[in-house]
Amino acid sequence: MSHDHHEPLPAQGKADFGKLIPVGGIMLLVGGGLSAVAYGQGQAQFFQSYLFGFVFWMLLTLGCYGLVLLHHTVRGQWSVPLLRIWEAGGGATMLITMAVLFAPVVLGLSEIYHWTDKHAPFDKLLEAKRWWLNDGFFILRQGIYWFVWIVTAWILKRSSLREDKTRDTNEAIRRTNISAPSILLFLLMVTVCWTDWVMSIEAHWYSTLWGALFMVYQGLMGLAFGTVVFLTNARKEPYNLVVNPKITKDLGNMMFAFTMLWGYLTISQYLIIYSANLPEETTYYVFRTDNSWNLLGAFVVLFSFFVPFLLLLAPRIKAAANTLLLTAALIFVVRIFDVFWLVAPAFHHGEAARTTFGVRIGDVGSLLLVGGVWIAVFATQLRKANLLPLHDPRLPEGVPQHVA
Amino acid sequence: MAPKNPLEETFIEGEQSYASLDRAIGDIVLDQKRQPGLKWWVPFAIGFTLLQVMMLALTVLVFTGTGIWGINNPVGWGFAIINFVWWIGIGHAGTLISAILLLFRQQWRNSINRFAEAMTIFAVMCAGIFPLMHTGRPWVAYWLMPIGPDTLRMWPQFRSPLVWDVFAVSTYFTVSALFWFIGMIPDFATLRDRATKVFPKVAFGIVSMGWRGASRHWHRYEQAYLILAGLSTPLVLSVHSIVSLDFAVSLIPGWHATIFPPYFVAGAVYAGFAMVLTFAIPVRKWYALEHVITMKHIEWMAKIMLATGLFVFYGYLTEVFFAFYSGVEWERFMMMNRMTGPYWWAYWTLIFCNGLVPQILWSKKIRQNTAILFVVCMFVSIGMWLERFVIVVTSLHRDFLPSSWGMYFGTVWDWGLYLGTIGFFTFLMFLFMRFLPMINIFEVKELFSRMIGAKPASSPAVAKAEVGAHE
Repeated sequence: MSHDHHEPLPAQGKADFGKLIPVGGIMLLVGGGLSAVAYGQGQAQFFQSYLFGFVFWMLLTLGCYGLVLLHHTVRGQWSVPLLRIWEAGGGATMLITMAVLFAPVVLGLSEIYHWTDKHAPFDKLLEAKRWWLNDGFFILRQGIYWFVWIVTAWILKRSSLREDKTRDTNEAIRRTNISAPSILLFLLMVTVCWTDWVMSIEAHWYSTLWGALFMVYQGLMGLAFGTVVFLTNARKEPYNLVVNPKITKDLGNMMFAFTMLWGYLTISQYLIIYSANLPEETTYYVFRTDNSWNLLGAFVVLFSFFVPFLLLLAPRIKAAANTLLLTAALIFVVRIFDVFWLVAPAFHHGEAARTTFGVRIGDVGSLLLVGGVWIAVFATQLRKANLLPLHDPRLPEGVPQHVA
Repeated sequence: MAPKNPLEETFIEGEQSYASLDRAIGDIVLDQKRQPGLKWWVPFAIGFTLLQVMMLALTVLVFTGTGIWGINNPVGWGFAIINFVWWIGIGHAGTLISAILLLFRQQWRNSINRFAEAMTIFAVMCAGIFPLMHTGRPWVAYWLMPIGPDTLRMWPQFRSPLVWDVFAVSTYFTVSALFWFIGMIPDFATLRDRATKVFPKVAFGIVSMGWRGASRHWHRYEQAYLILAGLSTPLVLSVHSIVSLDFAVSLIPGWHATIFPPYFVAGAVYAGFAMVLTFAIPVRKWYALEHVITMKHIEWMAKIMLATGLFVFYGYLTEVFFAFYSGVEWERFMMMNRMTGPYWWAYWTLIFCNGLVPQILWSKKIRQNTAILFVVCMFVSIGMWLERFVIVVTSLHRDFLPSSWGMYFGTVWDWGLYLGTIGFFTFLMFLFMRFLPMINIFEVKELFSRMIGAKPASSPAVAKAEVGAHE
């Protein structure tokens, strides 16, 4: 695919996200059916599987939310065409949707987290953690997270939409002033929320890298997803006006940086826990390398790090929209396996502190169920505003200001 | 004011021409009357004096042994490791500026990269002294190299990050020195051509290695420079990550933490930019370089300091949260001992210097006030030293066995060697400023050519008018 430098591609119709709504509907129906079957098989399995689906889509939601904050803080040019995609994926409506979809996790709290069990035999470590891991405080924290996220997302989006109309550039400065401290708050909340949702499944285990690691998971998902949405419509209006080798190179470089960070943090955590060889820490990796889990882990390392690393190293891949699209799609799809490897093994207890390998019907079900709702909400949100933030002076030259 | 693309901002101020830039930077070296007199001699003399203190401390050390230091049992890692980590960290700003900012095409790096690269090399030289002396037998330091069983009848312990450090730091030094030297070749040629006296003409003629500015020269130069940048980029992460693993792979509470690698890297960049600013702020004034190292450069560096400082502060908060979340008795004790034990003053001074003081950098006014910024940088340098002190000493002095608890303080020889390396660093920096081009002449000229050749729409005045039209 060859590009004339910075000349807009010929348009092949308008980008239409309405088509995604029935796709979401079908995913919801299929996922709902599978989840119902899983529920029939047993409540514990259903709730544990449900957490997997929730975690996957919540990572994407917070990734989009975090990238909006990053965009407003550093005011980079490369992220301008993706802003509206992230605003839809991590906006107030999406966050409210995810809060509603969090309800099953709260309902199944005792099936998911064994620290909720008050009648379990005395456990010294769990007793010491009671101040943080108790039902009341857990629920209260969830309220705080969603309140802060929804309010900040709502304020930022409103300001961004208002600027489209009024062209008041003070709005941009206001967004920067809100976003910069919000990133800090976001980092703190990401650390504790993923400690709550994922780390506390294995309540004895902890890792201080958790927050940084999840920032990278989220960033990678948000970037890859945004790139996929952007580049599948590369030849449609209005995206055809902004797709050029420079923007694909910048997006490729960002994904490359996040891929390297993924590898860097993953190997750091593994190496430190492996070298110290403390029984209470190594269980995490023992569970995840037992039986066939190690094959899944190797697959994740290969396709989360080595393959995208080598692909994104090549300038040719980053110069063309279609090759970068395939790379971003790969990065996004591999996240399913990555998150599965992260969440599921803890629930597959075998005998004598071992894990059994397997994919449950509810795992697929919850991924489709939550995903169906997510995609339908995403599409509706994306259709509500201009696909490009027209007010932005950093949009490449030549984008007519009337394009919607 | 509209948010501007940083790449299109002007990083050279005033009315300039290629010749005026040559004069402003190159003639500092060629024309000794351009040297700021006492302002150069006083810091140089202080550096030179402290350098003698270092030589004395090293001599006594080699003749007597590490017993003259304060290290004891249980605190076997004292000033030597603290100072090693501190100096290695300071070098990181140079690598970040030269490698990562080059790859990301950040043009504001162009006038500070040479300066920061020199700091990297000198800081690594200072850092290297400490572990070398800490071995106790520096004359057999070659045992750290995998020379092989035929000669030594042994291998180093490859599983130890201390051995990885040897490779990481020596690679770091080699690549940084190459980067620095190759980057200077075109400027050496400029100086050779501009020199009127015989000695500089011959000296710069030799080091410019026959550079004539041919297009083939530039082509190869650009390729070599990009390859070196690619090689340096992982070094920004790997060197300090491996330093952090010296601690993290152990079982000691307060050391064994998975966040250590990124947290150490952020701390290194933080300390590095503080040191670059510490030198850049006075030097740009003394040498009248304000039009090349502009307020925009200063502000960018202050912003990077703020961002990395916040991540470091986040690291402190994470350590506290997870010490209590973990429920592990030893972790909790370690954290309480840090905050309320005999070294409480070190911990809280560290939080003040590294966590609280830099928060004033949120204000644009303060980022542009060089006097306050200079003071903030001093706090950061002290804070980063205290951070390593807290990590090394508080974790060791009260270990698992209360019967072996003790206290640790540096002796006069510890302090002598530490201050001595600061002198060594200052001495080298001021020699560098006097005899080598401290700002990249050709990159500034390239930036200038892009500025004057840029399309009218990119110039700030016109861009402003365009935005105004939308309102």
